Amino acid sequence: MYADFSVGYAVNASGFNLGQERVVNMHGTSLQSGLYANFALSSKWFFETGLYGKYIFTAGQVGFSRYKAHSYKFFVPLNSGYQINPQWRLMGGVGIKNNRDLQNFHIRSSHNLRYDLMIRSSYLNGSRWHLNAAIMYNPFLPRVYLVSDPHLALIFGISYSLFQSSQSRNN
Amino acid sequence: MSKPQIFLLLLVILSSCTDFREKLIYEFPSYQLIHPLTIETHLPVVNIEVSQVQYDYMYENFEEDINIYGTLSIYRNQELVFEAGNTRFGIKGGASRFYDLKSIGIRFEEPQINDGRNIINNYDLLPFHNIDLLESIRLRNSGNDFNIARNATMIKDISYTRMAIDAGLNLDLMYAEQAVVFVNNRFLGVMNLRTESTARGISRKYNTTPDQISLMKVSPAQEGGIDIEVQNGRYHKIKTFLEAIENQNLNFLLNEIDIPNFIDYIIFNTFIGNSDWPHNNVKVFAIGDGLFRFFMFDLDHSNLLHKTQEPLSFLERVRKNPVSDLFFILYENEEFKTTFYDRYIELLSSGVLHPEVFTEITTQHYKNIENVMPFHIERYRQPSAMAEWYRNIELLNVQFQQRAEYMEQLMIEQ
Repeated sequence: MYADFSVGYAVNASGFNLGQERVVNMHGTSLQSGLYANFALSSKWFFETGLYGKYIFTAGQVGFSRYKAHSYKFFVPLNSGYQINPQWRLMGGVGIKNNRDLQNFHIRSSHNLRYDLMIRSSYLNGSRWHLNAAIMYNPFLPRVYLVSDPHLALIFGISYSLFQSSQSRNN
Repeated sequence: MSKPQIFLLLLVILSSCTDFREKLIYEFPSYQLIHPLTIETHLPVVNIEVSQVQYDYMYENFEEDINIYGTLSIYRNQELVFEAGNTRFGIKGGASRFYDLKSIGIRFEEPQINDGRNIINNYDLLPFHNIDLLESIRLRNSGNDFNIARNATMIKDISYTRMAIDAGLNLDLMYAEQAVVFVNNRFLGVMNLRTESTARGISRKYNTTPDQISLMKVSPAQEGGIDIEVQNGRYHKIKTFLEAIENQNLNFLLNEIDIPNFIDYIIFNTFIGNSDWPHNNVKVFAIGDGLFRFFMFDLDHSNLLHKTQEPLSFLERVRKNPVSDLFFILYENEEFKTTFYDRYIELLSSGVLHPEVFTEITTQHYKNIENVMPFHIERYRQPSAMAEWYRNIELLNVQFQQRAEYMEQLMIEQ
C-alpha cells in the first residue's frame, strides 16, 4: 500500500466551441492525493489500483466569460504494471473519474464516468520513496466535458510505501 | 474495507463537484440597477405592477394557489406596446414552483387582441392554430431547465417546441417568446412568455369557446398509478374514451382519435426522449364532438436519460398509463403500424429533426438572451456562471445529437 501525492498540468490539444463560442486560452493544473496498492500477478507483472481525491483548476475564456473552474473528483486507476528492474516500473491502463458532478449523476444517463488512458512510470528512490510520472489522455469524451477537465494531462508526484515487504526489510 | 477507508471513499465521492467563477469581458450593471425602460435588449420586456406586500406573500406561499391583481405592461424596444389592468397573477407549475424563480400565470379580465403580435410574437404558427386573441398566458421559468442539477439553459423547452413547429408536425403545443421580466420595475428573471394549455388557451387557438373543450390531464399519483383529472368539458365523452382504452376497443379508438396527431405526438416525444412522459405531462382534448387530440408540453426532461432506448420500450418503461396503453392497442392494427413507421421514416429522412436544425434553433435562442443572462445569473446563480451556461447549451446540442444518431441508426436497421 502506498500513499501518493501528485501535481499535474492539463491542456486541450486543440480548441473547441460551446455553442457558437470558441473556448480559448484554456489550461489547467491538478492536485491529487490518495492510496494505491500493487497485487503481484507473477515475478514481473502486477496489477495496480487505488483511490484518489483529485482537484482540478482550469481557466479559460468563452463568449462573455473569463472563467476559472474548480473541480473536485474521485479517481480510480486500473493499471497493469511491469517491473523493469528493482528501481523502475512501467504501468499502463485506464483512470476512472467521475465526469459529471454528483448532483448530475443518474444511472440512466450517459457519460457519468470518464475513462482516461494512462501510462505511468515509477522510480524507487531508497527503500520507500517512489518518484512518479504519468500521462493521461482522453480521446473519447464529447468536448463539451473538457471545459473543466482537459483531455490531456501530465502528472508528476511522489509516493511512499506504507508497509515494507519482508524482502525489503531483510535487505 | 476498513471504516476509515469507507469514510474516505464516501467523502471523495460526495464531494464531487465543479464550481465556476468568472469575470465578464463587458461591464454589466448589477441586476438591482436595471429598469424595464433602460435595459438594452431586443426582447420583450414585461413588467408586473402589483402590491409588493401581496406579491411577496404569494411568492412565499407558493403552494397555496393565491391570486393577486395588478397591471401587466409589455415593452418592445423601450416602447410600451401593451398594457392590461385588473389582470390576475398566480404562481403556477408542479415541481418547478419550488424553484427560486417561479412561473407566473396571467389571466386577463377579458380576451386581449394579439393580432399585431404585441403580447406574444411567435413568428411561425402551425397552420391550424391562431393566437390573435389571448385570454390567459404564462411567464414560465423554463421548468426543470431552471434547475442547476439539470444543466440549466433556460432555452430547452422552447427549443424542442420550436423544432416541432418548424417541422410542421401535427401537434398541439404552446407558443412562446423569450422575455425579460420585472416585478414593480425590479428584475425578476429571463423567462418565456407563452400561451396556455388550459381549456381557455386551447379554445383560443381553435377560434372556439372554452365550453366546447373536453380536456383531461394525466399525472402520476403519489401512491403509485396514475391520476386522471377531467379539467373541462364533457365528463361522459372522456370517460367513454378511457373505458375504450381499458377494454381495448380498437374500432372505437380508431374512430375517436385524431390518428395523424397521435402518431406525430408519439414520434416526437419518443424521438426527443421525453423522460417525464407519458406517465406525466399528458393532456388530451376534443372540441365538441370532434376527435381526441394530444397536447404536447413540458419538454424540459428531454434527452437527459434513456438516450439509447427504442420507441416501443421507451413507452413501456414507466408505470401503466393511458397513452402507452392506447399506443399498444393501435399498434396491433397493421395499418396503424405501417403508418406509424412510414411517418417516422418520412420525418427522419426529411431532415427536419436533424441535429443541425436543432443547433440552429438553440443558437438563435441562446443568442437572444445572451445579453441579459448575466443579470439572471447574478440573481439566481443557476447556472453559476456564463461559462457554465455556454457549456450547458453545448451539452443540450450534444444530447440531442446522441439521441438523433441512435434513432436514425435504429430506423435504418428496422
